[in-house]
Amino acid sequence: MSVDKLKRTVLGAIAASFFLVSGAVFAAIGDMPLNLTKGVTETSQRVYDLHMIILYIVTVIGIIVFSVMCWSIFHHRKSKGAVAAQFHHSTTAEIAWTIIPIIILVAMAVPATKTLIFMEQTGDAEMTLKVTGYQWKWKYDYLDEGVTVWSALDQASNEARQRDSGIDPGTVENYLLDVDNPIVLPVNTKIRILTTAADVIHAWWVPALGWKRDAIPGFINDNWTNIKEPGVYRGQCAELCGKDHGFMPIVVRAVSKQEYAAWIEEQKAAALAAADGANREWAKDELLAKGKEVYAANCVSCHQANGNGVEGLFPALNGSAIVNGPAADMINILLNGKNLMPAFKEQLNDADLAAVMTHERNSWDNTAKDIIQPADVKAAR
Amino acid sequence: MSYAAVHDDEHHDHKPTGIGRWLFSTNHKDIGTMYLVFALIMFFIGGAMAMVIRLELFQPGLQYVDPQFFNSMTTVHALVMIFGAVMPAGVGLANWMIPMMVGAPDMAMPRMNNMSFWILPFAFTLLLSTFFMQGGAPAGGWTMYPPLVLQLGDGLPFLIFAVHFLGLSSIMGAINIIATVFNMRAPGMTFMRLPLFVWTWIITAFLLIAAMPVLAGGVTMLLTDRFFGTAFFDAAGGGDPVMFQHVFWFFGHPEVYILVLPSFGIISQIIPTFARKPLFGYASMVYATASIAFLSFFVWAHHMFTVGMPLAGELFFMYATMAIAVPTGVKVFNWTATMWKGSMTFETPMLFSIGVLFMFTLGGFTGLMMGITPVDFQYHDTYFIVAHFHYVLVPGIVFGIVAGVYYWLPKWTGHMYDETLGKWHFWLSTISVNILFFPMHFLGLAGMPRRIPDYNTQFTDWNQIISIGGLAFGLSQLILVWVVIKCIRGGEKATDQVWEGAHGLEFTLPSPPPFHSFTTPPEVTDATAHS
Amino acid sequence: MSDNEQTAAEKKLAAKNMRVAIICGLVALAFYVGFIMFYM
Repeated sequence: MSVDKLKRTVLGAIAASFFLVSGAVFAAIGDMPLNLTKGVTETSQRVYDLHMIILYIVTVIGIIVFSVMCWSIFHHRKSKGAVAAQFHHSTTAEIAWTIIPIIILVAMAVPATKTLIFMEQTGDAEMTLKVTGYQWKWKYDYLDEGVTVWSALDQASNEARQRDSGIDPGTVENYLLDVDNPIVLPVNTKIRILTTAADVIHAWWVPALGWKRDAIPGFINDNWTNIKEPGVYRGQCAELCGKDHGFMPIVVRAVSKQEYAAWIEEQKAAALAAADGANREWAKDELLAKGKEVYAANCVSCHQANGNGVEGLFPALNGSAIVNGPAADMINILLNGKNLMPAFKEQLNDADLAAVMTHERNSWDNTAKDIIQPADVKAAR
Repeated sequence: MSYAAVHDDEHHDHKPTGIGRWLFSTNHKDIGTMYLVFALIMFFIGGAMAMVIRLELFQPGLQYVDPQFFNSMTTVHALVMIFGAVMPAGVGLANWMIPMMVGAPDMAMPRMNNMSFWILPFAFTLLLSTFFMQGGAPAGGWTMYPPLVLQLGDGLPFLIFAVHFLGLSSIMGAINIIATVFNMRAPGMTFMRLPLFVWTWIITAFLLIAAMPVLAGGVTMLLTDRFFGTAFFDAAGGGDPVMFQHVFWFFGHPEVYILVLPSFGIISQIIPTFARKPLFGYASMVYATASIAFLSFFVWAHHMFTVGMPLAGELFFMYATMAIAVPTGVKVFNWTATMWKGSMTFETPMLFSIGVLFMFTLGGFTGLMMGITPVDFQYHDTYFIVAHFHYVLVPGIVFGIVAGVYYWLPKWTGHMYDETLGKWHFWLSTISVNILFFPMHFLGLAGMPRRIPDYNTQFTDWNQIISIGGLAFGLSQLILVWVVIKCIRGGEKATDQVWEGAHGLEFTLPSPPPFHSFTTPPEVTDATAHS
Repeated sequence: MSDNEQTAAEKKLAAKNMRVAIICGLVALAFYVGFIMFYM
């Protein structure tokens, strides 16, 4: 008996400390991320509600089933003198626990079906945004406006995420969730969003919009959104797309329709100015400065900051026969790609390409030391 | 012909000795042992890779490995755990137990049995050798989606041939099990008297024969796309990359049940033993298992809701997925009803089985949540799915296999294992596995994608807790190794029946059983069957 | 490994086992080839 009592005291103490500890744990995790976002669209709100309904249903089922299990674990044990009954089936019970789950499932399927039908209505959109996934950045085409935005991981995160960078990610604001060029979308507008990819499969996901969709090379997926509240919404690529899959975030800035119109005008003006750059002669220093920037944004993740590449995966530019060879061959590879090297024809303009090639030919141990003018690139297109 | 090996051995009255005993073994027990040891080694290799993953994810920023190597770790961890640890462990248990359970002297085709085991070390040598090649080990995910997987360097053909060999090995194992159960049952051992473990394994074997060739076909198409100029999955050549995903998951979903059904079978043996009460609803268990297996061929696209299917397709796969909850529920309720009004004791195998019951059900709930298509658009490819399938695979399947090992270990070795150590193993594993996988639900819901080597600082706290849980879980498994070694070397003598409430033909044999299980077939009646 | 030591019953069983193996093997092969042909 006394052993039994001791056992009970110990068990009681364990149970009490368990509740104390879990109380402390619950207080601590109050600040930690726990649940799905409600988001800022009708879709995301509906998805959130559906998520909560199903979570509650399975929680209730779980409590019932686990209680029955626990009850028999505690009461039908040999040490308590329980004698085993010998029943081994009950048609009534078996029919009941087949039919009841079916009813619950049908009840869950109804709102799920409604939400799904709602989400698939991509018609009557007021504008169209085409999203193209690249290894490892996003290209956004505002199809109605003819505006294109390239969006990649921002410089601060990119520096901090390098191995042995010595930078504490905690000091970088929105670490890995910030980009160089955020996209801007108007609120209260039904926007059709097409997703596709240029190389491998990516997935475009902004949790606040309530869905993600794969971006598949050669195919275009159709989706829509209608953002209710202005704000900055962040997301990430959600389909493994190679080495830097974790480093191609998405930032959507939702603004009023007027602000959006102004932003579009700004983008158009900037595109015109950039196109102009190809028509003039550039100085070497100007090309080198620009080239360094372009290299850091587009080339460094494969060819590395020291130009030595990654053995077996990405060739070295330092001492490369192509980089030190005739300009025409190099321009051709940058424009049209080769093996894993993507074609930069559409990604970069003439001035950017000329600048980055000039930078590479004058960096590290390379001996070419010449300059390539935007006009040379333009001619080769 | 194939029977000759068994026959031949009977005339020499001794076991072969030395390395030859293992290399040329045609004995179901020796081959079963080799499968189990191989699975355990692979479990630790795959576990070491998981440790690298958790080490890198312990804090934001990249500290220990490059992203490419990190991707190799997640990819090869999955391949090793699924094809190297869980599947061989299931086949190992089948090899050991099925001939004893149906009253046969050995497996139907002992030499093919030898071959299906010895393919495995070669296949994994191929796979793991890719770490030393140009371009490194596979890093495109175990799902091998093109076009990404085609970017792999010299390792690609090695990956593909490893998968081919693994498929071949599994199919041969499956054929052997089918032939054994169909042709070598003892007189009176009718199909509806078979132990549940045998039933789940026949159904698994049929799934293997139907699903593995599909995977082999899919990876063959990858091979020809890369080296022979075909364009099955290349949009530029008129192919479709999504088609690979359909092919892969047409294999992949049945594969889930290939992994889990043997575990269901094991706990269906164990729970009645320790509840001292017959299994509730034997017939409905068999039908539920068969329905799950049948339905598993019609739900594959729920792994790929986000690829953009037509509405009708999304609805079909959602409803079919929800339908699987019904037979799965029946199984859980039957196990619960088996415990109800039993006379339970809680030896280690029972503890692990109850662990399966609770935590597999939890994984089942999240599975149901993800079957709801519109919500899956949020859950897909986040840590929520990582939490879900690890709950199903680790406390659902690995715990089931471990339960089986504890349950039959005294039968195999003739010694009782150390019960105190077994209980420590269970409690440490259970606590750590929940610290390891439960917070992943929160991370996924909060928006952390899977397969990323680095993350935003808001996810730091959970990741640190997960990594600590992971380390504790990994270390806890060393107890299992110690228990098994200790049990092989000695211990309290096990009786023939081993457990007070145990029934079934395997418990009529001595512990340890003779080299050839039943040389004269036992007679099975309704009273001796149905444990 | 002399087959002539086998009794009639053992021979019958061996033949039955081979039959199962061949059928299952052919089914697997058909699935493999069939799937590739289907997508060609």
